[in-house]
Amino acid sequence: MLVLSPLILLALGALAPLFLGSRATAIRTVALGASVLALIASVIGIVYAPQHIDIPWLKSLGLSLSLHLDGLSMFLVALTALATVAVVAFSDETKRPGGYYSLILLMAATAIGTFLSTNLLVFYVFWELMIIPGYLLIGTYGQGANSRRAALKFLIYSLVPSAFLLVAIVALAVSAAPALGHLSFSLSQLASVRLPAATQDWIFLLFAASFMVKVPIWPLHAWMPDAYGESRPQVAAMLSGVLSKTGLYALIRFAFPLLPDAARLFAPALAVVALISILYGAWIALTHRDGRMVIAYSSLSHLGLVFLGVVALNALGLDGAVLQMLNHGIYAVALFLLFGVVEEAAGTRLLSKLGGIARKAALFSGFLWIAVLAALGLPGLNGFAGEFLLLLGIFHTSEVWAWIAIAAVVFSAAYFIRLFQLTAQGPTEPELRQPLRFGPLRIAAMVPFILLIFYLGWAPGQVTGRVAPVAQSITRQEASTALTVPVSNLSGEARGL
Amino acid sequence: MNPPLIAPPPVSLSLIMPELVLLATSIVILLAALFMDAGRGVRALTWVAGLGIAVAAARDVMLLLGPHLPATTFSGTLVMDPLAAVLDLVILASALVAVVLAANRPEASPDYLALVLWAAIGMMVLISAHDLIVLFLAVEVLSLPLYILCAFRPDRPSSLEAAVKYFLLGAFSSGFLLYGLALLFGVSGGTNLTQVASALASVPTASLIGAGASGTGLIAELGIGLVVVGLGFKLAAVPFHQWVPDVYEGAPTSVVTFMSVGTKVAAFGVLARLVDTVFVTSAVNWQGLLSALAVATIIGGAVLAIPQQNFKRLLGYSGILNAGYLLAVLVVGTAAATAAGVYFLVTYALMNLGAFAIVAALSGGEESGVMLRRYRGLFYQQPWTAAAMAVFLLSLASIPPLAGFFGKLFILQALLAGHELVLALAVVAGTAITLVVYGRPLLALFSAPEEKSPALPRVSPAVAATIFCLALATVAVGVAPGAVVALMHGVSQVGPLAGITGR
Amino acid sequence: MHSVIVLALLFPALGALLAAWIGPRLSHRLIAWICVGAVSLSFLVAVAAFVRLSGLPAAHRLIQDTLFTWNVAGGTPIHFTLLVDPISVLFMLVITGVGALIHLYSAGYMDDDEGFSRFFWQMNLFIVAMLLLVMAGNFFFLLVGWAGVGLASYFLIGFWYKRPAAVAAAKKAFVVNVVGDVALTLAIFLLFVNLGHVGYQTVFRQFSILPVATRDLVAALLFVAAAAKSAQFPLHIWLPDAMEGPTPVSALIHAATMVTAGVYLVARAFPIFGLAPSVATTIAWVGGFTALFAATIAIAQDDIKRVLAYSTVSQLGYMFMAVGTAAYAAGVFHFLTHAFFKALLFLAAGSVIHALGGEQDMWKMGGLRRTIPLTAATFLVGTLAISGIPPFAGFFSKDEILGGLLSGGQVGLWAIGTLAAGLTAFYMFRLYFVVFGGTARAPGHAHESPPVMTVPLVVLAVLSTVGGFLVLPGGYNLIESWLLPALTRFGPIPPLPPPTNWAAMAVSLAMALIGFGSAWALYGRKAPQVEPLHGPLHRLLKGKWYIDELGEWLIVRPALWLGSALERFDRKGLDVAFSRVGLLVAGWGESLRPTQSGYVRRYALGFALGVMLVVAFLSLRP
Repeated sequence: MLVLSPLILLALGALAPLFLGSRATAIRTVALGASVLALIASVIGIVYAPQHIDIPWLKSLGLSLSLHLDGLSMFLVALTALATVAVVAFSDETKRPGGYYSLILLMAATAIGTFLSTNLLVFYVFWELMIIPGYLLIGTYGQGANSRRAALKFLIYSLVPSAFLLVAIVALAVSAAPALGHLSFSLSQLASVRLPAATQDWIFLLFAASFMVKVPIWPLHAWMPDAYGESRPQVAAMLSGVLSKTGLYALIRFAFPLLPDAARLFAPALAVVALISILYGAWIALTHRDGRMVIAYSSLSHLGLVFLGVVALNALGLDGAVLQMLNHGIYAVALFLLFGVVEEAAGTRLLSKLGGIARKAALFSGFLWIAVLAALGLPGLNGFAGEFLLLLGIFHTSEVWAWIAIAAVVFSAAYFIRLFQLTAQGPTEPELRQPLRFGPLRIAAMVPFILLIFYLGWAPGQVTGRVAPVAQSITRQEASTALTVPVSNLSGEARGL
Repeated sequence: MNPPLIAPPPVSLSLIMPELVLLATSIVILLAALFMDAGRGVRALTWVAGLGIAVAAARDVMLLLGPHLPATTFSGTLVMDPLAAVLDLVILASALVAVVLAANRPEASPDYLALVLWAAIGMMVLISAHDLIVLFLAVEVLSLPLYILCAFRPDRPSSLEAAVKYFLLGAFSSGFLLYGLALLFGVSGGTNLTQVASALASVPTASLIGAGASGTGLIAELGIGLVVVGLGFKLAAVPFHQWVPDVYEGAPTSVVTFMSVGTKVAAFGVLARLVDTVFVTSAVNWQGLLSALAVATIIGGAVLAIPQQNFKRLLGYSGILNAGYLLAVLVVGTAAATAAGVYFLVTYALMNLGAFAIVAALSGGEESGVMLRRYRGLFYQQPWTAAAMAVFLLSLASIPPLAGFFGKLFILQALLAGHELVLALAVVAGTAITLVVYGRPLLALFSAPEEKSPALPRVSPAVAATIFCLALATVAVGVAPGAVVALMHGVSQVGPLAGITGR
Repeated sequence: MHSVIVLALLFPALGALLAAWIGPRLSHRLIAWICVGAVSLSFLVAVAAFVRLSGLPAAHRLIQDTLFTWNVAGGTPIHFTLLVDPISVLFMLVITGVGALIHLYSAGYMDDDEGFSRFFWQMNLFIVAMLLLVMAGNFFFLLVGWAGVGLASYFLIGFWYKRPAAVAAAKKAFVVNVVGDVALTLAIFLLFVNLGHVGYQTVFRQFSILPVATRDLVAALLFVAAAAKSAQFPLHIWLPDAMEGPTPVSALIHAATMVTAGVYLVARAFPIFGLAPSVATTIAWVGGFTALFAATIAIAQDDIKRVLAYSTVSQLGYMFMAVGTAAYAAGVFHFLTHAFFKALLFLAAGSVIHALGGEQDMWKMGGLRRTIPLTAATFLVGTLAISGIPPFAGFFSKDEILGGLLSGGQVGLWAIGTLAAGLTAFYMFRLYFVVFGGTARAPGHAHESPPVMTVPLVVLAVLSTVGGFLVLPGGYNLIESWLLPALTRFGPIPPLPPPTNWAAMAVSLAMALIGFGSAWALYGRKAPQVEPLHGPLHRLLKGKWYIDELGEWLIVRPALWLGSALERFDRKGLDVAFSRVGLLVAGWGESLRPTQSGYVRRYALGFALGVMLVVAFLSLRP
């Protein structure tokens, strides 16, 4: 039950508004409590991982509630819980609190579900469910005038590919059924079947498209500026910090082990897309006038790098990808939330109208500064550790990729420094509509992020050491199938994991 | 081919007991109405109608669990098999919801109750029909009460308009259906489906433009085509769907609730039976026809639903879309596919009845209650109602793990197993589009309420209980689809439902 | 010796933490005590390490201490090892020694600044990063220090963050530094991927097994990194702008320590450059070009700190010429003397600026020899030292380099260096005459700085005077005998430096005197009120060869333009292309709506058409 406890705690917290009506303080307290408990549970989970539960759900479909907590998933689960705590602490919805906090917690719970599932159909359940809170949060708790449109776009971009993902999943199971002797959606069972190359190809493409939208990766990112821009900073933090990871995670967890040949076939093409993503996002972040969009496009670039590390298809790259997913989650959530505080106080996100925050709030800008430094990959902070390992992995596969990708680091420095300078430094002083709200609760919620930025910078091995075995088993398995089973073997040879 | 039926007694009333119970109830209601005053009486009679439906359902369940199915009666013109029994239950459920919903509304009257029961009888007989004449009669028996029911809000012109439209177009389609049935009779020389099937088996294909045109081949094709047209009208398949939004918008919501589920169930049931008996034996390209209709219905329904601002119209289009899914599974024609269709219908009934029930309850008497914008901020006024509505909408959008998802999943599985990739993609494309459709009302539920708009009426306890049960079932069937599958497994090892057991 | 060398890092780290944490609540005096004390203690540790090393036999002068392991890289642990050997200990001594003096000076200079505690914790942070850079035992932690130095310099350049110019300069410095960081990172990747290690000793020992192309690539990347940090052409653009920081910062970072990190890197990684001779030659030529190029710019600058900044760039060029031709000892020697006299010059300039209330334009100065005599005297010592006038320190170290070049047959480089030496003498004496000679050009009365500022000046002046005697031409060479055994441990011994070249010495001395004479003739004798030189060449030099503008037009502007173009594309083009599909589907819904006319006759017609389609579908099958 340890596996499920963060998920259950968050889901229970999400139900609270049904009973509490519109008592904002109570609802928020319950949400905070639920997410803190979920965080504690997920940290305990890290200690006791790997854990596995398997509850039969629908035998005739080979469907069972298989949840697995291992090196690949446990940090992302904890990240989700941590982000939720911070997001709730930074939120203060009073008009319609019920929906807001419920949806935030549901979003977290479903994201945790996707991280834990090792049954394709169960994964799909969470994957689909996750979209709904996002859609509603953008659409009904948005800030901009176009929030409904942004929500619709988010919905279309999320659901259209995932509708086809369902076809791919069912087709995968149906194609594997003859070899397995029964219908199954279990990851381990499906991974033991090697599908014909042509089948793998189209299934992989549907998988990849669906996962890449969520990250997002160029050119499937068109929903991102709207969704991140029209929603609240807290929601944007959740989308970028947590939800984006589900796509990358799914690629590692499902697409590669299940469709190794197709993965190998398409890896170079995906790498090109990743490289475009890296440069494209960085370049836009370089000049964007809107501070939050700078963070948003930086995510496009940084997650493009993670994606590149994933498609490098080696253990180092995967290891680095997981580490950097965690790191990105940490600094992106911190950045979105902290910049959100500035937006809230100044009433604008235009960098040209901001500045001089450092003089008004030293501690705040110190935190912002640390988050910025982590994001731009300063050696010694967490962003660097992940970046280093990622690039190393990429380097192993293709030096050219690494050469291009590393250019993004220079861009990163330029646009993040610009973001910080225009927000915190400089001569401009915005007329703050209200004082910068960085009270004890918000400080307390941000402290773990700052500590983790330092801690993971100096001791990334705490993460990679746990990830490495899984990453190695995924790549080894993939490599070994590539060697042992001829590609033309249509029947799908059963192979132990 | 249909499995050989157990030799029946020529007439077994026990097999049509559910229908007889409903008939008796309706007569009791009409007679009792003569002696009761209008206000309190209707309330009591509603209970009577509900009781009658419950008894009929109980008898139906007994038939399902009993050892006698499948069996025929009335000289083989009626058949009772698991398919019919399960679908009968769905029809009874929708009739029950229609009765409950009408309770405190203007349309509540003894006539209303009786007409609902008669229409239900027609639907149930239609599913059991194993004879061309019975089939046609059943269609008429279910249609006529519905025409009248549509006009049950004489205070509103739109209600009358809906009734007239439905009646005219319904009569039009009945003509085609009758002509198609007559042609099939002409080809085979018999009216029993078994006879028709064996006769069609020996009819070669024919083409107007190809070589070797044979008259009988053409007649068979025309017959099957027109039967499909007639039943497609009832199922609301594109391009025979145009009546749906207008009728749904104008007719009383309780009636729409009933017909949106019941008619569809009946039409699917009879089509499944025709596919299983007549179509599969013929050389006619019925699969191509159904595929084309399915794709057109899915895409048409989904796309047309997008701009709708009226909840009932929106649900009407969603019904069209779902009819497309049902047509798609019929194409596969295997027992597993039919079973998937039945499962889908069960889930569809749950969420559609639920959604309509909420619309009916919240619209009160006024029409504006069915506009989407009136639902804005419902979550903050009536959280439980809104939560239930969210469940229904999400289920309609086939978001897992709700009932609708598994309905869709089984269909996909059946289609992919039957190598109908195009249809599978159409199903998925339809789903993708409808997510946008259901997304808008969903968003409205949680949005900030409109300023100055009057609060929506409270939901009466009986309706609330109904809604709650339906929502619970929608969640439960999703979370534990195994229960429903197991139920079907327990009741049937043979016949059209065998496939659902997961073999 | 374990853990003692760690103290060198810990003291300033602690100082930085204290000053940052409780500094705002402490008095300026206490903060100064803490931070100056921290650096001084660190200096003592460096001295102790030096003493300890000198006590060891020449071949075993090495202190290593592994603190912890950074086991990120896929099973290959990277040990966080501190390494103190003759090279790093020299750098440590200069960093902490000169650093302590500058800290002391700052206590006076920054006393009336509201950001006093911020200044000191950032200065201490810089010392930590710089020490980490030179004490790191492998390339990986070198990189950590490397980036940390860049960060600290960003802080300090942008210290007066209300000034847009300071903020812009800080950003420019950071970005150019990151270019270097990236190059260094790539080099480390290449080493790690090919050799599996990043430790100095292992890497140097195995470097020769790599193919030539890889070796050249690694060396080239290391050089780019070094050039970015040490402001070599064309990556020098950040250094003159960095003068926007407070003057002690310029002294500490942009004269004495940070900019020499590149020299340190090349000296440290000498086996790599030894195995990539073409890159080494490039380094030498880039260094030579930079030395001359920056000297020409310095001639025409009016800002007192800018002249010094370009002189720094120029002097760094000398160091690169040296290390590029494998004269590591000469390069390090020049680093040492340069640290003394350049820190002195900057601090003295700071004293001038302080005395004039922030004035930096030398044409608004004059006659300061009389009002602030101590500053003038120490500045003169610095000028003599940098100009290569014996017996001041610069003479010896510069001639060590130039003589080595001539003896080594690098006549071209020697000629460039000598020419630059003449220019150096010219612009430095120009500066001295204009600032201190003649009469005051602007109203106001200058005051000599307080002792807390003048004491460091005097100390540095003494060092600039005697520092050169570490090497006595024709006599002994303490630097070489200290360094060479350390170098040999890592790789093949660099070619022994040629004996002292008296001819080169004479020529460069002559050049220095010519430079001095020209300056005297133009600026000293008549003490002009405005710049007497003009003409297109002067404008070109004053405009710094328009390198900044070139970069602005060729790189920055196109990049920014592309950025906003992409953003527009993203907002309009790509976005529209994708949302069109959605809108298209929605549009169908709209466009199909007329089919729902509401007229029964139309519906019946549609129905009939449908029937015809069905019939046709079934019966027209070929």
